[in-house]
Amino acid sequence: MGNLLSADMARLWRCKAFWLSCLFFAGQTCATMGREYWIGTQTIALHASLENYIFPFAFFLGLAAAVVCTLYLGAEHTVGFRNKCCVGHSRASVYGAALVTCSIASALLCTAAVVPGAILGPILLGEGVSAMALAMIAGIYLLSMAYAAVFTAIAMLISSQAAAPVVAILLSLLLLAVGYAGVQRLAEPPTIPNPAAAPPTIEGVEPDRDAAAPERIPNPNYLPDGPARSAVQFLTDFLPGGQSYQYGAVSTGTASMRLPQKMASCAAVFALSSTAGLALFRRKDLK
Amino acid sequence: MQKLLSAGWVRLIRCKALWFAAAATALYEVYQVLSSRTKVGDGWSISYSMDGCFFQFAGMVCLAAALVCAFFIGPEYGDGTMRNKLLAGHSRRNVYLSNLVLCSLASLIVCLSAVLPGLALGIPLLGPFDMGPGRVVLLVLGILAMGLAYSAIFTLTAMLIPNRAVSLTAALLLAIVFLVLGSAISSRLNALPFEDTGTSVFTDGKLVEMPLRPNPDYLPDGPVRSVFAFLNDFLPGGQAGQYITNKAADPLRLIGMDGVLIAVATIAGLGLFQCKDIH
Repeated sequence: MGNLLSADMARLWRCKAFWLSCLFFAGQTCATMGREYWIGTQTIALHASLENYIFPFAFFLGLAAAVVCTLYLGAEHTVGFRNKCCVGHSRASVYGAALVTCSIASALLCTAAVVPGAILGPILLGEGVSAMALAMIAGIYLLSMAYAAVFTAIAMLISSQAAAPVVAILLSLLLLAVGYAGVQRLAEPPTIPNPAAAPPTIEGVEPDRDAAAPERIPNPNYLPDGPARSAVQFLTDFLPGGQSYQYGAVSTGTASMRLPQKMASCAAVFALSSTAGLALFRRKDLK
Repeated sequence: MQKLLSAGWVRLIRCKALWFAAAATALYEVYQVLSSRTKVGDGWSISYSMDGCFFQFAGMVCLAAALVCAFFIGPEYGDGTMRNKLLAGHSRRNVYLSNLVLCSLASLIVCLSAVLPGLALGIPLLGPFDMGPGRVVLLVLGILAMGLAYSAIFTLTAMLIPNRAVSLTAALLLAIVFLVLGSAISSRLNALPFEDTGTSVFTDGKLVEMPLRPNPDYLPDGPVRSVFAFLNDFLPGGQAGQYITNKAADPLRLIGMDGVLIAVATIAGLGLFQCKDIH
């Protein structure tokens, strides 16, 4: 296992996709900080804490993890995995080494975004890292591990070098879209203005003005307290895409953090993906 | 050229990525139409029209074109087909153009796979369009032209990157960058001059509301706004945003921009492909 990890890390160090992703995250955080500093010098600055500016990178975390894990592990399917098994390494060791390396890569991606933010924040914005920001950083590191586990499973099980990145990238987009839809659905208000009584403010709504119509009507998209709302809430917190959206949207004020639930969900996703991935990899025909 | 097109067409209709992309786009459009059905409650109802939901598939065209172009052209490098075509006497220009034509056809198939079920399901469920039929036709033609522009761009990337995995990843990431960039540009153009701070402060013992603060995202009339407006019309991601939100003021201008984009991408791709070392 030690030899495998050492060899994998040496390969990761030479992986261009990994370094490009790190560069993108660092650049994105610096650009956000620089922009907020510029806004503060140009207009009335609003008080906001550092977490409002560090975490937008979470939107792209799944995408970057998908690209890095699949491009990095995809190259091994041609000869790497078979040779490792031929020289006596167990499949569990091969899978474990790949999982650890991808987890380290994902954690380093987070570091590439968080460290410039933690350095530039106090200098440009006069804001240090608060306790809340520290807890969120811990949560986002766990989220990166969960992503790494999911995409490692995909990369280890799909032999086609072309199909694995596509499946992983589309899955990361799907997870983010589902997370966005879940958060939006939970944020729906119980009532909305009645398009029949008020001027049409909702795009795509056909007005049918009626003087006797009520001002507000029940919102058909509102989820009342009950099993449906609990299920959507659970999925939004459990799925990595929902967590990504909530961490990334801190600055827009739409997120309400339930960090313990999120951290437990990340651990569950990591354990489930790794167990399922390893079980399927043991049976896989390595050509 | 005809033989290349004929052989390519046979490969295209067997390309699983094409039918997967067409099915995903069609399902997305059907979902948009079904989720816009009239909602009725006690004493109230909300009616949605076709105008708001029909053109939503424009966002999917970008991802579908990236997927299909990279999956269709990628294997030609891996299997040595590209080199064999050149060895058999076809010019590089013909090889490039035949792939461009086939990828453009694939984009049209993807677009039509959304338009036809959207119309077939949407008009009986939601009624006819509120906008005139002329504008509907123009907007559909605009989305088809945008699909062709995407095809030209992704044909360029697929023809120039021999590694299939890298080519696919680059195409998908480029598609996402286009969509994100289009959304960001549109958001800057729609920003209002002032924004409400939503805060109050105590001054001399009185609660005073903070004034509206100038919106740093607002772009006043001037060269910078003109550049953003041009990019919003020129980049296919900006066009997709305009079609999705039904805010395409001048579809003919957008179609003209697509023509320019196709010409630029094709000329650049042909130029670079002529110099490329094909193993």
